[in-house]
Amino acid sequence: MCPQEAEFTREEEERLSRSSRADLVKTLSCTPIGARTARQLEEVERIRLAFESAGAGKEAPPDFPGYVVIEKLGQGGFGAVYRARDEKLGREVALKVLLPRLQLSEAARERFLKEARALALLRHPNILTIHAVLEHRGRIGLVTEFIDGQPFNDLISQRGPLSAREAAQVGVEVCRALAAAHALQLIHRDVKSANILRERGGRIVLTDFGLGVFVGAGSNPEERMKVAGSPLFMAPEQVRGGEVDARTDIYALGIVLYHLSAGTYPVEPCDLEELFSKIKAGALKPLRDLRPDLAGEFVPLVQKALAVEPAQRYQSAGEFERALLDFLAGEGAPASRAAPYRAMPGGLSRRPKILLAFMGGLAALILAAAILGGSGLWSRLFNGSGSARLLEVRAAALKRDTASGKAEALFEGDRVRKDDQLFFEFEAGQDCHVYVLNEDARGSRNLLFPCAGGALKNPLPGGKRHELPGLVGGQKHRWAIDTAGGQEWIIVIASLKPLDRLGELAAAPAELAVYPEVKAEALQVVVRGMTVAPQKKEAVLSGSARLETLIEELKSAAGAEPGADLWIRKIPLANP
Amino acid sequence: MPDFTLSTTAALLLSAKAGDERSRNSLAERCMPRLRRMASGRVPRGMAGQVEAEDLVQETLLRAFSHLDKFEPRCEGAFLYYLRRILMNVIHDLGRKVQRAPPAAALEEEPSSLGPSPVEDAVGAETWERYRRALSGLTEAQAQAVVLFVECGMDFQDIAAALESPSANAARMVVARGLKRLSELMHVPPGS
Ligand SMILES: Nc1ncnc2c1ncn2[C@@H]1O[C@H](COP(=O)(O)OP(=O)(O)O)[C@@H](O)[C@H]1O
Ligand SMILES: [Mg+2]
Repeated sequence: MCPQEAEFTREEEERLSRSSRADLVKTLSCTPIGARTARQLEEVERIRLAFESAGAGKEAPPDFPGYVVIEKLGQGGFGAVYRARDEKLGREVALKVLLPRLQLSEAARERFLKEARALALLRHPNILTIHAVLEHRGRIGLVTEFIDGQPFNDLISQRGPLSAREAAQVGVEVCRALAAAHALQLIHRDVKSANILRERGGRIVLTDFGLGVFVGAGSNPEERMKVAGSPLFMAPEQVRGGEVDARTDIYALGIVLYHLSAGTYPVEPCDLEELFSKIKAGALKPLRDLRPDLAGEFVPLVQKALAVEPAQRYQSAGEFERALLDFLAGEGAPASRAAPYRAMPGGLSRRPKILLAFMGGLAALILAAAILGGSGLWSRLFNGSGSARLLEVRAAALKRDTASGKAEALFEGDRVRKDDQLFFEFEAGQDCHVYVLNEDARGSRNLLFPCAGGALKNPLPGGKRHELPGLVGGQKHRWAIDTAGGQEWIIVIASLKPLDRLGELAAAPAELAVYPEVKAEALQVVVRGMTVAPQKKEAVLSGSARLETLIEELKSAAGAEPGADLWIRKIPLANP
Repeated sequence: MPDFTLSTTAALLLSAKAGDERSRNSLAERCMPRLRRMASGRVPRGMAGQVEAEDLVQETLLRAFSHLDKFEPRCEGAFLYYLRRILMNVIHDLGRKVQRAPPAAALEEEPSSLGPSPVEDAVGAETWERYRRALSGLTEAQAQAVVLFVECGMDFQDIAAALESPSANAARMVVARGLKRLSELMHVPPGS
């Protein structure tokens, strides 16, 4: 049967256009649609409500006896990695579990066990140490040392590219890890920035042997030739489905060094077919074009690792390491030609913004990890006992009003302009306390929310979408950008408990002033000093360093009050 | 091209297709809350404790990403609708695994032997069935709008963005027409 346009009269349209999500169906029922249709419509509404209440459910962390999950660290294609506490030994560990849906797959379990065995064979300071494999109620878990740090993909996107020297130093460590694996005829096949962690203090750790394959005599050739890997890091022979060997990992490490020093990949985003044909043809964007400032001898080192023909690359991890060490020795005095890490200019703008889309629901659960010393993609913070009190942030987006009347979400690194009107959309599963701060490049920091006289007060009720700052004096308010000031950070912190220390940590709450020429229904609030006048006398650190301090302080405050679930989101904005 | 055009779902899809992990993550982040909602309503009671909505979400995204080449990026709404179809396949496969019975033919079929889902529980299996059948009688655009409204719990502003409608109100009218048509189809007995 062919659906015909269900048309409404002008009047009905008028009435419909005034109805909200909740009463659209009611309004519709009042149009002359016939009793039977109206009854069905009610059923549809019940279905909608059923989805609404079912959607309030949560995700369960793994529950292996003797291990208490603390937070989620990250997730890749096969597993989710949690930070957990081994109760018997009283130490923190990382717990990698197969994604639940993969648990039904024999092949996935097999591969998971293979990863565990490969890790068990390897004992090396640059390779993740495995402690145990767990099995409980059909769930399989891998216990490894916990790395308090971050994977390099996150580091690069947060802080911008490394100098040649720093990249080379990372390369040396990864070469050592690879040499140890290759000595056992084990090819990693998934060397990439996300699988290399940097521990606080600087130790470099290669992880994720989930795609590892043995290539020695007696190994399975079919296995060796399966197309596997992460496309952007795959070597030509891998793409072709040819045999892989140590030089395949060397190539991937070449891409890693490229990525670390350029901040981007040698092939622009395109479809897979194009990517593969470029890899096969060696059509990579020259590193030099992206980083004309890189030390001269570094670029050819990377280029050599990226040769299409394996025979033209370094033949072993040891040879690559040697070349990197020679380069480092030639570099002489530390960092003479290298840009310092933090101050890498353009670190933020160089990076493609799409990659940092910051928005909505899950994102929420996520970025906390990046900041709270965790690493990976998404994180939920559990309290000590691991389940009951869980802060679930369902939506979090910084938005800007636009001329069309439709608000647009702002992304990390986006530009804001004078007179932009911003607000923050937020929803959590539970009642929670939300604080919004702003910090500029000079280190001046303000508490934007909660604001004096505002109708919206902490704790914000859970299960409801809020727009911050909300109503002040009965009218809808926005934060307005009133001055240009270079880099800006908006920091949003949500917590199940009130964070009294936050008031002290932030400067005094921003003074709110109302623009004299009030016109729109959305009244502007100018936050005085959103970009002006530092109120603290501390030494002026770079914005991000200041922020780091604040976050450290918050963390320790949370530590002092177990059970205070914290969620933190930091949004850098350019305000030139 | 200005940067912000790149932040659309379509652009993310493009670079995700090229294997960019961050785009995938961004895309997943974007779709996850909505997908999670669609999934939560569908977790079969018989699987409670073993399979959570989150598992369905993960599996759906994984399948979606491994078949990204089959999807032409249009708009977020189309992508969510595509995810919904995969989600139903996932549930279907799950049922098959549990039943060890031959697969039912149609993709739109959700297995019942696993026990009712929360939504079925709330409205009854028969109504749920009529809803799903009627949905397939709508145009693709209408069905997308209805699903975003009913199953994803999106507001009209978000639906407008997802369907690239000119305004929230335009989106509201698409939803209203879709709902009306859907309800008409729902009381038509099957086969007539
Ligand atoms: N031992 C660990 N300590 C801290 N974080 C870890 C650890 N192992 C993994 N991670 C985090 O989890 C993410 C995914 O882990 P990984 O082993 O690469 O899983 P997958 O096989 O699914 O890719 C990593 O990128 C990293 O952020
Ligand atoms: Mg990984």
